[in-house]
Amino acid sequence: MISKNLTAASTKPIILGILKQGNSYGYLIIKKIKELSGGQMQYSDGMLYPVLHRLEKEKLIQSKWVVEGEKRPRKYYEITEAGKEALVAEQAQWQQVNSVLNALWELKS
Amino acid sequence: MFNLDEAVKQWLRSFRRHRAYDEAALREMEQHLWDHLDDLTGEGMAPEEAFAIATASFGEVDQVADEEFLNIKRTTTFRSIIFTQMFSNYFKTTLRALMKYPVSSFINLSGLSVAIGVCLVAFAFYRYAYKVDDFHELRKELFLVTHLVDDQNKVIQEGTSPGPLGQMLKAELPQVEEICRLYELNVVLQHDEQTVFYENTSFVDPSFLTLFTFPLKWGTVSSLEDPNSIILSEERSVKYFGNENPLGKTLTMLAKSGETKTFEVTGVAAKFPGAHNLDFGSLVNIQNLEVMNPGLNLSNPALKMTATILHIPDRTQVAATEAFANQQIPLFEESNHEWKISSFSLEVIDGMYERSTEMRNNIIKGNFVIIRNIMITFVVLGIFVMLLASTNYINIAIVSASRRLKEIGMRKVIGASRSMIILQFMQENLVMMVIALVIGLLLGTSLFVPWLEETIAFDMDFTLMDPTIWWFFLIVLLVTGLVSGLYPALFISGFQVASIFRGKFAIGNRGWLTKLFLGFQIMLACIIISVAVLFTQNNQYQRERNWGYEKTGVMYAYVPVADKAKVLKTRMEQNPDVMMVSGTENHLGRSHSEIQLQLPDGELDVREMQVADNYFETMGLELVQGRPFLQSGTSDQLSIVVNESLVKKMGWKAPLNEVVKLEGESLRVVGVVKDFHLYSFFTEITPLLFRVNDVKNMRFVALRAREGKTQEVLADLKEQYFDLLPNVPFSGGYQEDVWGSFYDSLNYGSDFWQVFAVMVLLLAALGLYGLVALNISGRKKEFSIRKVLGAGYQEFTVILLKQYAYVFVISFIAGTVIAYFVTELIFSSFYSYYMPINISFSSYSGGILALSIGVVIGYHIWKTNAVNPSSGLNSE
Repeated sequence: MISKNLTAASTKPIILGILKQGNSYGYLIIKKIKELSGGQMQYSDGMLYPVLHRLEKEKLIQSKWVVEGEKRPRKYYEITEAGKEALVAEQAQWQQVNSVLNALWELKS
Repeated sequence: MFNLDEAVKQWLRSFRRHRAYDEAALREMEQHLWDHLDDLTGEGMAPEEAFAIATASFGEVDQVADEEFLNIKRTTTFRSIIFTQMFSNYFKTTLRALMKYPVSSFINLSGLSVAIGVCLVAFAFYRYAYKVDDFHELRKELFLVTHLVDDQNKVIQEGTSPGPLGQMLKAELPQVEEICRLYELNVVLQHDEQTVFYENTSFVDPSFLTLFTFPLKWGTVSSLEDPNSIILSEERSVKYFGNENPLGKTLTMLAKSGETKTFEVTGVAAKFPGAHNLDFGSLVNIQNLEVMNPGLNLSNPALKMTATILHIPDRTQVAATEAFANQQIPLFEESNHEWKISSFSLEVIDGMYERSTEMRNNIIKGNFVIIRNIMITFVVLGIFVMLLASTNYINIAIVSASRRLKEIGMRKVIGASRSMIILQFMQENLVMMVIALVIGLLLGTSLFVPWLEETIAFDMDFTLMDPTIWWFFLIVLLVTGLVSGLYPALFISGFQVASIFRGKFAIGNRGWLTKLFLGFQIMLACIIISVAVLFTQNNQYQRERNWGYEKTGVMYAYVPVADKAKVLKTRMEQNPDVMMVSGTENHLGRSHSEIQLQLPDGELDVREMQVADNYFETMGLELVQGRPFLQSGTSDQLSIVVNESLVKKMGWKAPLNEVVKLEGESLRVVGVVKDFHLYSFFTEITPLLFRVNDVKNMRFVALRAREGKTQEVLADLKEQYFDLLPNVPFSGGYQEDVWGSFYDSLNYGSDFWQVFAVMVLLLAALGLYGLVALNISGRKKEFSIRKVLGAGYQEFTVILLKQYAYVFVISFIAGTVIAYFVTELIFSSFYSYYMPINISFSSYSGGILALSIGVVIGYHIWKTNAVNPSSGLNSE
């Protein structure tokens, strides 16, 4: 199980990463995260929405309501150009952290 | 059965409690939950279990909401846009409503502005009264040495202290960091031939300017160390040297003892703050006291120092200091039988002004009670006018609501809730209040306060920069806004839409309330008018009130040197236009001494006047029994002439030949004079006795001139005076002027009340005008039909008067009764002698009131009658 703090810290790049692969809505996004982590990343579904709204306010993603035929209306989120740039920056950061940790693990063994 | 729809709704409701969510966010979460539920039930789960799992995995509502709230705080939401939009729209409708009904708006605005202006004056007084001497930085660490005197069962606190005490305390006690002695002396200060005046001068330790915060405009504080330096107040500097910098110039001091010394001006104080009591005209080093008056010795325990101030930074040491001072009492009492010290008490300078009325001979002089009375008067008046304006506002708002019924109905139809309409009306009221506040502030600061300052000739040191004033106005705004706005808002918002549109709505059923308010207003107006009438009558009364002696034709001169006084007296006797000259030690309206008669059962405070044998005749004092002093003088050394008050106080049936004891001497009554006013009508007539003066102590020359010759005689008096004393300013003149500004102050009082009465009357009349106008405009059709049917002036008058007549009568009676008591209260707290209040004043106030009401109603009747009935019937 991944710790709460780490989960919280990684939410932003994960959401941006998921949205980069295509537009999606809240329920689907959380489902995808659970799938990808194999159930190791677990947090309350509701906590996703404040993060989404914050990213939207920061103009990293944008949203629109979509109604398709008989289906329920859904609020779809889409990554913006700024969001893509932010994702690149996040990637670089996480890779740095990763390489630091890797180096350390190797030293130890 | 478990109802999934219902359960989801419930769940959503728990989110609605949180401000963080708008409709869109709620819907988004609802969809989320449904998606999850669909998935779970799709797997074959029962709805109840699916709901439990879905909500559990969604998480705690409160936590999620808190997280969301972090976003909303920094963002414009849908709702906040609606709110700002709504308020700006209300603001527009408010302004439109104001413009659309200019008469009502004018009435409301003028009333509220005047009320706020008056409140401002009340606040200015309050601020003055409680801020006096607040600018001294060390005020909490400075203590005045006072002593308590046991006097006939009552304890008197004296602000004076034995001369050497201060230095003893400083030498013996480490907690006394610094002391300052102060001795006041009246001397002549001369710059050149023309600029020479009697001036109070303070002889002080140089620490005076470091202990008290009196910054200098020019010069240095330390120059006071030099015994040849003099430091002036700004006012005195201007008096002697104009606006130029006087540093280095010289002033010659001439003391009553005849000593003279020349000082160099080394400093000028900056202008004192308006709210001050302790101040000075000129300061010199206290070492000069022995120089200017060789009779005084600073180390003599008998010397009565005007004030001794101690700087004790540690308050807890005050009691120990007092105890040490008390141990020294025998030393002082042995030195001089005049010291009657039961104990010493250190009084902190901070807030002393408010307590000073209870002390005697204090350097901080107590007119606090008068200031406080004026302040209370203004607070009451402020509340009066505020009530008047608020009731005007409520009345007009309620009645004018009839004209806005459709607007309100429409608002309700398109979905406004009651609270929204209340909000709208409250906001209209608030906008009105803010506009009134701005006008009121302008009125107050640029008109009321300056006018008052000029009238009563003092500087209130008023500034809008004081933050407390803004708190004050915030409170005024909120209170009056709520009081005047809430009721109309509730009332108006309660209308039923259907009845508005069906035209069935009757506003008249609230008539009793508007009438109650109207009655209240007229009562207030009646009170103020009555007070103004009474003040004017009292002014006249006091003007005509007898002083108890013949003041016309009498003039006097104060002569500081007895020998010269004798010469002046002889010279004036030569003048053929002078009927009689009297050389006297004390003079009516100018001076007396306080003495204590020894009675078998204690002492009696009595005023004593030492006068010449022909003084009674010169001044026109009326003897009711016995005789005046004999010309020879010597045989009357132990005779006294007393006033009626003393006779009454002693309970003498036959006062002649009664004997009283004074300092071991037995004095025999030879005559009784009718009671007279020694000073103005502010001061009471108290027991008084006359004794023959010693010509060595002659200080005043009083004389009576032949009728029609007073001007010439006064000119001669001055000429002779300056011939004898070319360098000493003339102090004297007509006896009629001896009370100084007393009659001016009477005029100010009645002027003030008259202005105020006109203001209040105008406000009440405006309120009545608005009310009648609205009443008529609401009954246009009725009046038009009546007119078609032949109604004229007479009928309209009857209709309108019938509605209001009893209100007028009741409020007039109530107002008159209240005015009677209010005025009695005001008179008794300001004057010792005033007109007995006679109910006849009500005929004046009633007349004024009836006239104003007549004009207002008459105007409406005339207007109603002049309208063409067809226009009234065609309206709408």
